[in-house]
Amino acid sequence: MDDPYTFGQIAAANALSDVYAMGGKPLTAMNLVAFPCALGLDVLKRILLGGVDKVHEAGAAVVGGHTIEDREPKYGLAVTGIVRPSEMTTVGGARPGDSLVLTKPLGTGILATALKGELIDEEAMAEAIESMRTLNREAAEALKRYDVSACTDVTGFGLIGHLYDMFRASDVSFELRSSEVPLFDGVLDMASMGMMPAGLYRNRDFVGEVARKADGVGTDTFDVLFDPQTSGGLLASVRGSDAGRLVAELRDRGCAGACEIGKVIEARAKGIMVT
Amino acid sequence: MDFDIDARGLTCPKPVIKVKEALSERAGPFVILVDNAAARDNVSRFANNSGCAVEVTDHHEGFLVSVIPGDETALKVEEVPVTCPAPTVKKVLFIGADEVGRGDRELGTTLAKAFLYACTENEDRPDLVIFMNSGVRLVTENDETAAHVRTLEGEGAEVLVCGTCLDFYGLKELLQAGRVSNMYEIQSALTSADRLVSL
Repeated sequence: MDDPYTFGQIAAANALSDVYAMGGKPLTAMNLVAFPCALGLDVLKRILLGGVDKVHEAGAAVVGGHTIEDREPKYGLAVTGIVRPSEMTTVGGARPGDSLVLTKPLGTGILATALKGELIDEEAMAEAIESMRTLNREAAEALKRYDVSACTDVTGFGLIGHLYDMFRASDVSFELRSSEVPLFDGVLDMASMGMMPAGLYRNRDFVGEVARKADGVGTDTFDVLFDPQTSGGLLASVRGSDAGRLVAELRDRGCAGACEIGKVIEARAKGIMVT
Repeated sequence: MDFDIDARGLTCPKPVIKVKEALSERAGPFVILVDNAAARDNVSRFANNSGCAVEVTDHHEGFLVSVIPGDETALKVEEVPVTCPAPTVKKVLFIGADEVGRGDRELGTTLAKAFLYACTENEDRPDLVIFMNSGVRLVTENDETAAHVRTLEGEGAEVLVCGTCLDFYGLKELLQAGRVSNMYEIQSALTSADRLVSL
């Protein structure tokens, strides 16, 4: 990521995401900064500006923070939000018969690795960068109007890693249709070129045997589902009959990559089946 | 067991980039040492998708990944003899006069004739021969030397003859070997030579 302002925007969108996943509204944020002074305070200023603009966009305020000097620049935010207990959504609660809906495409980890490896340029990543900068606010507001039983945001553990959270929190299993999972352009190509971040393999190892793929599913297609995301979309389980309308509304609200990607099934299947 | 590329300590995607570079710079199989499973899997994936066979063995510091490019390439490596000189060395012979050296003219022209004859007898032949100034006489008025130059052309040498010089001496119609060229082409040929002999 070359542009400091965009870096700041993405970091903020990423941090705010959790509040949206819980059905809440962000209130305040604190900056956490590690920065090498040699990079120039101008760069830091633009990073923080990116962050503050995104927090303001979310209707929240940056109320302070902590800065230390470090060899490598790091920027994150600690976010506080508020939610009505009756409207709160957590990872637990998915019901057999529910549909799984994902609001943003996958592949930011793989594309970032391909960018580092100079197999693609930033222009090829433009769609993904725009997606990472986008708040999950619209998605969260759409979800409030439907019967959502569980919700999480998709970040560092990858789609299946976060679905695994849902698996452990309820007595259900899941079926994931790999052909329905939205990916950014070029992700499968880069996957086949071995542009997988180390985190992808860690996620896959962590979930282990719980995730299984059907014979017809390619290795690359399966592995992409473990790609660690930065500022990914929301993953929600919603009453099956509502899924079609929810996806249509999400797309209307600007979540162009929103898709129904699978189903919640009975526990006896004991895991996450990828077909 | 030995390895060709050391990718220990390299973070994603550097090990894959190393393999990518190796495939474009080398012919034949090579072995890369990686120190983690992610790099092992990425490198294997990339190599497989690039049409190579892959073999992985354990190493006390990680994994040895053998990358074997498609069968055709492996065969070529076995057939090329190691002592063959690199074919891409461009040898250029520049002849700027119709005599060799300074001194007696009769000696000089005799030497030029003998030199060109010797060129045809020697296996180490020039790839490109350039004639300028009075040198153009050797491929026009002088039948004997022109014949030697034609022999070199027949063996694959390219022969460039300066057009300005031919015009100056009024010899353009008498060209017996090579083709008319210009300063740009000649200058370019001289500066791109790997080995240059100038008479």
